[in-house]
Amino acid sequence: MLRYTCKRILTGILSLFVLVTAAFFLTRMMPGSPFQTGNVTESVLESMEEEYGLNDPPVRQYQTYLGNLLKGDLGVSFKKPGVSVSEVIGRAWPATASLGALAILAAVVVGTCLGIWQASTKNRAVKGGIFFGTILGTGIPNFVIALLLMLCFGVKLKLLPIAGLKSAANYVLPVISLAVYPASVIARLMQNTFREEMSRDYVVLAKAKGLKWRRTAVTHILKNAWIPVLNYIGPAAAFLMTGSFVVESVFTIPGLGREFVNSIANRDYTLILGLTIFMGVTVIVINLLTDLLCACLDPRVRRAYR
Amino acid sequence: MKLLSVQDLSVQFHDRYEGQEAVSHVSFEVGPGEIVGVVGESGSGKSTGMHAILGLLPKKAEITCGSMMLEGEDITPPGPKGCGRQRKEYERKMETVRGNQIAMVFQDPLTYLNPTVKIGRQITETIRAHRKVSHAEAKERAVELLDMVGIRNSTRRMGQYPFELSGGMRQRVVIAIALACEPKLLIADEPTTALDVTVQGQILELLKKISVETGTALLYVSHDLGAVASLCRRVLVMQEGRLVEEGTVEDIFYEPKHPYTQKLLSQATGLLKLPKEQHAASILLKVEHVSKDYFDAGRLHKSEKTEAVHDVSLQIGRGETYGLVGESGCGKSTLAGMVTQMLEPTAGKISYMGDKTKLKYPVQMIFQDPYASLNPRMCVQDILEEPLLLNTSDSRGERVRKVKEMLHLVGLKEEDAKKFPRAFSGGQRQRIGIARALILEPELLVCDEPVSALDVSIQEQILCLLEEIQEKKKLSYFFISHDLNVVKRISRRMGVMYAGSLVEAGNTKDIYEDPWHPYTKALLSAVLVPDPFKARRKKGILHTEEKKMEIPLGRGCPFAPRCGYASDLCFAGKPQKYQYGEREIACFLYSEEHAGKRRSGLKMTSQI
Amino acid sequence: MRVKYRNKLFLSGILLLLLLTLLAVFVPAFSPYSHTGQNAEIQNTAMSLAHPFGTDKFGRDIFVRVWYGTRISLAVGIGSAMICGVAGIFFGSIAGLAGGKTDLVLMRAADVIDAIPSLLYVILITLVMGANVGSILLGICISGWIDLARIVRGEVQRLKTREFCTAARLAGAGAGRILLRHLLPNAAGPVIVNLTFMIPKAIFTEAFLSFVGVGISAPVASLGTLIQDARSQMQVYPSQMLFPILVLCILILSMNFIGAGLEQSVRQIEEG
Repeated sequence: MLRYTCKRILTGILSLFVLVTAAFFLTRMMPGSPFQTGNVTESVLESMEEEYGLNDPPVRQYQTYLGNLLKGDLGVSFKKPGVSVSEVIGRAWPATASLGALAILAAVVVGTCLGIWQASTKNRAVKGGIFFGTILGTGIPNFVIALLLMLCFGVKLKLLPIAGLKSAANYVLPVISLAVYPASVIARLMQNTFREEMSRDYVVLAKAKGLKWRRTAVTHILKNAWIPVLNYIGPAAAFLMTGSFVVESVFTIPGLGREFVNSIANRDYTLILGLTIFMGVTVIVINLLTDLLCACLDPRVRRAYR
Repeated sequence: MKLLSVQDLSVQFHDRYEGQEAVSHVSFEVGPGEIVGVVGESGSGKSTGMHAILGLLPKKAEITCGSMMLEGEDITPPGPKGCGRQRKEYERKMETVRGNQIAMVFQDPLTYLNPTVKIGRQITETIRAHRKVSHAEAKERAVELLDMVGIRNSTRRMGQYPFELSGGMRQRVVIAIALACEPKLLIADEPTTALDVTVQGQILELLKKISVETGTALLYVSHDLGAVASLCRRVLVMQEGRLVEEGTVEDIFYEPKHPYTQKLLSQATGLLKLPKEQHAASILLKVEHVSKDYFDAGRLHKSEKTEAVHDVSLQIGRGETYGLVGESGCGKSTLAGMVTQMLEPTAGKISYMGDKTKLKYPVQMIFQDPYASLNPRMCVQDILEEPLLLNTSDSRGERVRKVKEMLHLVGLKEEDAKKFPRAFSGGQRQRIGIARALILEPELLVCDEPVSALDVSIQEQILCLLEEIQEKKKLSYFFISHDLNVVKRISRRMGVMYAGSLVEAGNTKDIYEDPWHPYTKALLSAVLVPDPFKARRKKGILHTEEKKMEIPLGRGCPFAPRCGYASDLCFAGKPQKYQYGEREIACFLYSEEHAGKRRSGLKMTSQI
Repeated sequence: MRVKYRNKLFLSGILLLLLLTLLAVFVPAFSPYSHTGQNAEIQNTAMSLAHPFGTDKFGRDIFVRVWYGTRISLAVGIGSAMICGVAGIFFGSIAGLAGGKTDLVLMRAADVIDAIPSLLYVILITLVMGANVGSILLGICISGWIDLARIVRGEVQRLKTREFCTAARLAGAGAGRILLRHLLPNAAGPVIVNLTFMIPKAIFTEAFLSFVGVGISAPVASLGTLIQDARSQMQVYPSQMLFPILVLCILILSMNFIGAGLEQSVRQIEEG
């Protein structure tokens, strides 16, 4: 287990490094200077570039950036004078994180229940209904769901608020639009693995032992069927992170996603870079944690990973 | 009073075509403490019937049963027309019966244990399902159970996962689970089929001991007549779902009445006959001091060396069959790989004296698993044609002609060339495998357990076919098997392999009549003869707990940890090969320096 | 009974996809309007015979623009599936066949690349290389091949120890022949299923980027751009937004239907 943990952490750190490097050089290669807004003279432009260190050779810039990064300093925004990237992130992440956590929770609970229901029911209508529901859920893009929900419940029916994050009711629509896709994926995963595990021999042995069906399902089948679902939480976190781009801009929520979209529109390179790195790190860490959790639950994972 | 009585049990699967039943109108009884054997070929419905008693069959199975009584308690399953409430009631009743009054042991202990749950937990949950005990008490009982089934270090084993145990140990764990609540009846469904011979003997003895000591009745399902003969008092013979004969073990084995029972018995004894005379003219293959090491790949530093084959020498003559016997994991398949040049030996030399120019790989091979050895996406014509395409410049017509010829030789029809492998039975697939190996006309054929996946009746057919072809084509076989009966049936000379070393070699007949090496003795004593008197008289030699075969590097005789005759010497150094006439043996008991002066001219016999 | 139902799923997916493809190919080619042509006289008109989906705020025909956008979606989807398919099968088979250190290095590299969310790659690359189909394809393919490569590697590893592969090697077959004739045909099921599911994912990514404003930009029409354009007038002219949404959903769903149908039939074949 220790060996496995070390190896996974090492891979994680390598991923981080690749991400930082790629993101840094890609943002340097982006066309146009951040200070070109039309009414700036050549000399002012040059002095500003000088001040921000943009005239240094790229490798030197990269070294400075890495050094600052290790100290936790992500630099300052090009477009918002005097505002550091860390401040922007610090202000924006609670909204995104709370939405994401709620959405993951909803997706796992709903997805698991639907999957188990679909796998264990004999009712053909329920089976078919959940099946088509999950296909629809994976098929409709999240921004479409967000727009349709907004049109339906916010604009036409005026049941729920459609902007900001002031009250609990504000959370309903964004969380739904974020959770539909991962919930459908989890339901399908759960259904597949649950059905597969139900046909395994050890279930027969559990039955032959005289265990009650419910107990077998919980202690034996669910334990094994949960592992792929747990594994999916990493990718789901990545998905929610990007899903927050649209959901936050549709529902005008001041979160990371909206900051990202705005920074792209403004060509605020340090902010893009900082946000990319922050999101990448979050996803890598979540991935790492779920992997370790899986290895903890399933001894076979540890064995297979060299 | 009878313990279990089953009246008129039938099982039908929905997906089978109408009228054919997996089990039809079977009635039998089991007395308290009685050991009853259920015998039949695969597909005879014996396991299905046993699963039906406990209600373990999947939903698509339709069970009808006149009555099923367990000590006067009615446990008749509801018929196919039974309504939901009856079914629920039955399930509730069975929950108290399963594992508590009737327990079951299955064929493959690996798939029947949950891979992600520690074995201690898998035992205690059975206890806690039926008895109101605390966790600690259940744990205590589990330790007791593990001790009872012969697992040492039981406290440590409780915290291990199934994959950390060897096959025999897993089966012992499953038996411990079955015994957890002291059931009155234990159903064992082919419990030894997936295990090695020596382990098989131990498990059988364990079952017998348990039945005698605890008074548990045992329903023993097996295709192996030898096991049934050694264990059971009464036997039920099943054929195609029907119970064709029932009687005491003596009646069944000495005076079988039903033609099917007679056929089964004659097949089982048929394997005991000796091979036809073979004349080895000149040497075809010479294996000299061959070793093969595996390095644990992937670890970039600290490479761990494991020795799969250690210093093996043997010779195979033209037109001869050389048999090689050993348990799973002893390195016999690695040796086969080196003989076919699929693997490179780390040390030693393999020289093939036949025609090496014609083919890239002059030694061809027949494989164990007829279901994995044929590519399911290729038709028979393509499968047989591939070697010709790659090695000869035959025209299309020529190839088709050769394929037809080959199909004819192995007893298949010409029309079969267009079919895909899934259209054939196991025996037929093995024939296709033989045809593929023969189509390039090799002089030496490696047969890696070619019949171990087949029913006894099919085994005999395939062995006959191999002999027939050998006679026609003057082929040599290097025949590998874990089944001593099969090797005895087909080979004139043989070798016994243990943990990568060849421990004994010589004429098959001599070795069978007078085994010298302690391991060969153990192996032979584990062979079960389908004869109740002989089988009961036989005592297993190997009583020590079997462990995963650990191959000590460099030092010591590999068999020493399990050997009853081991001395300090055996742990200190590896015995050399000592030659007495045609017999070769690697054991200090036969060495001149260590066991007294002995001239090689003298007629030797077993020293133990 | 169940077989029929499953085939229905697959068939309906294929039919829908065929219909959409035909419309996407022929409508922009034969329509009297172009997807960029503006006309100030017919701004924001409702559905009519001349303009089946109406016109937008610049008087552009939405019908043509929607089908033009479908073209882009299809190109991105199928293009990325093809590139990722080739790369995934290539690296997967190398890792699976070679084993040992090659396998270790390749799979670790894949782990490192895969740990970073793929949308971040796409966004960074479109920012650098400009918003066009090529850079979106490149961005999707940087990490898109990894899932497939893992599947192929697993299948190759599982199958290469099978006895029929040893038999083929004994017959003198080289690595190429074994791969093409013995390994890949037997791994086809899961590979095809994975590829079909890759297409809707790529289509979604493209639409998503265009919607956010990073993807394909005006005046070229992509379904995502169309939806974004119509968003500002959502309360007044919801139909301008609903038509591209409808087409996008049907497109992705049809691919999902095909994938689900294939998945089920593959499983059915495996179960016998």
